[in-house]
Amino acid sequence: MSETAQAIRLWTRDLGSCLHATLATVLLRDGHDPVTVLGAPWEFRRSPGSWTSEEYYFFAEPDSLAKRLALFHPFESTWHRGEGGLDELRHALAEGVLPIAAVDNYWLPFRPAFHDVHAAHLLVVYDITDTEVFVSDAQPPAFQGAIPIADFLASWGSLNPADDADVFFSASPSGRRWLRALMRGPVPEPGLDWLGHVIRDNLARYRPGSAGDTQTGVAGLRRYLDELYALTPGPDAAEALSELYVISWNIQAQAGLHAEFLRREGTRWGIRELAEAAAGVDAVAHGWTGVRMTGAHARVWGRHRYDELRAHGAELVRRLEVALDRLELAADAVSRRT
Amino acid sequence: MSQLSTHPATLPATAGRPVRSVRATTSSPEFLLVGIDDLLNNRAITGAADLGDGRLNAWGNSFPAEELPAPGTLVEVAGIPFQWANAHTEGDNVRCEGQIIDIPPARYDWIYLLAASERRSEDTLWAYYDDGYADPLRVGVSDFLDGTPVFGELPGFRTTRMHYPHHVQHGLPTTMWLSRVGMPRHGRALALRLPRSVALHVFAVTLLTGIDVRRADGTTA
Repeated sequence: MSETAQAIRLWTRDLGSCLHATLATVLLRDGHDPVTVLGAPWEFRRSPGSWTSEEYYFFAEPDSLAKRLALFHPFESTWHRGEGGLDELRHALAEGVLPIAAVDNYWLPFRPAFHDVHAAHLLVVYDITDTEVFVSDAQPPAFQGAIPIADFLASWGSLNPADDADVFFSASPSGRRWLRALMRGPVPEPGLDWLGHVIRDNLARYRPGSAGDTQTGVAGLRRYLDELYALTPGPDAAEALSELYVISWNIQAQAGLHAEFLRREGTRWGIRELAEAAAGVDAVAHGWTGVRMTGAHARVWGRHRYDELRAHGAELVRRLEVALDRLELAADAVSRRT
Repeated sequence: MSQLSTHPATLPATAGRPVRSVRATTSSPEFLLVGIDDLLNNRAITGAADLGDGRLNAWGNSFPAEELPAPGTLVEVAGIPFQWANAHTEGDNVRCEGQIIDIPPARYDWIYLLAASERRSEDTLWAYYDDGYADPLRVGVSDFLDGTPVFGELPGFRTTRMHYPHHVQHGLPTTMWLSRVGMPRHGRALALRLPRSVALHVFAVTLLTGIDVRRADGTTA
């Protein structure tokens, strides 16, 4: 293995997907803390109809994926089409970039879906030899090591056809896409002033939010949930429930990571209000479980219970309001210390 | 599990529900093992021959039967005894949909659950009392796949593999959690209601009455 290969680290969280995991691995390689960079922002944003059936979908426009997930850092990403094949990835590695490749789990020998289920996924490429590609995938079951070039190319170039065994993450060609993610400038000093700014900025994006074309914050979440409550079983509901499962994965993941960020900052500065806010944000993350899984069981198992979906949605909004109130108190507590 | 084999006593059924009292000595807590066979509504445990029947989550995953107790057995987890359900082809656990569990009217301190969750669950379990009060009790169960005890639970069972609809995935551990829910009210509880969340699965329920409450009630003899 090369020196680059030796330096790479796996990172994941229970609520996370391959999106946070791969970006975290890139950040760690460059000496940045993923919880600080990816855990500082917290928001709800949705653009109706713009989603893709990929585990790593996150509504980022007009920002780049990395920028939206790291609003308080100069972290940027660009998608590339690997028309130059593996040499393009080799070139990136030679430049010191860890490419994040879009792949189909069906062709990856270490994934449970190997030769069983088509599903869009991300992994980090950290070395390439004449015969093998070294890949890093922190999502369970974690794997880091070499696979034959033929397997990687099959996955990286897969059409990822529609697959009844995975209605959420199939039907999205890998297309030899890869993501270049880099910190483009100096990172902010994570002091109390910065922390207060982060919390206030997150609050400003949640309250009041917008129920317009791009749904944001509290108002946007309420509008989105109202759309879900109005569903009736049928093709439209199937599409909407698939979207729910996909888009809320990384929304839930971000909430869980933000709670971890707040908890850690609370310990670091000895500010109890931050721990209380963290518990509130965690409760929101857990509130997403009820919404997500009620929707998923309707989509997959035909258990259509929109009354339960409404109850979980109402609880999610209630928890969100509580969490935002606690964040207000936490921001005040931080201000008193600066 | 000498505690179980030495002093078990079966109490009269409550509304048709079998319960079993377990008390090791006069100075230890009392455990009430609650039968949930009548509520089993989901398959989350499979063998190699029926992998496709798993419904632990939206992906059809399941726990490996080979690494969990046999149906109908008494088990002890971290000092807490449980009655493992008598599984059948339609169910081996209770997928939580707000089911009511009648219990013998008494004072209890803790509800212990062997449970699993698809992602993290933080929800409400209701306790009903003979004076008309109903208490919402917070229950938290961590993700069965990750193994991180987000709510401070203990692992009940950890398996070395996970079942998929078409294959057994070795090297992918799963966790069934030992969760507990406090019952702070000094009152006689009559019934519990499980959360209304299909993400949450309950495999066994035991109620604990602490020694202080037993002494206060004069039931330590």
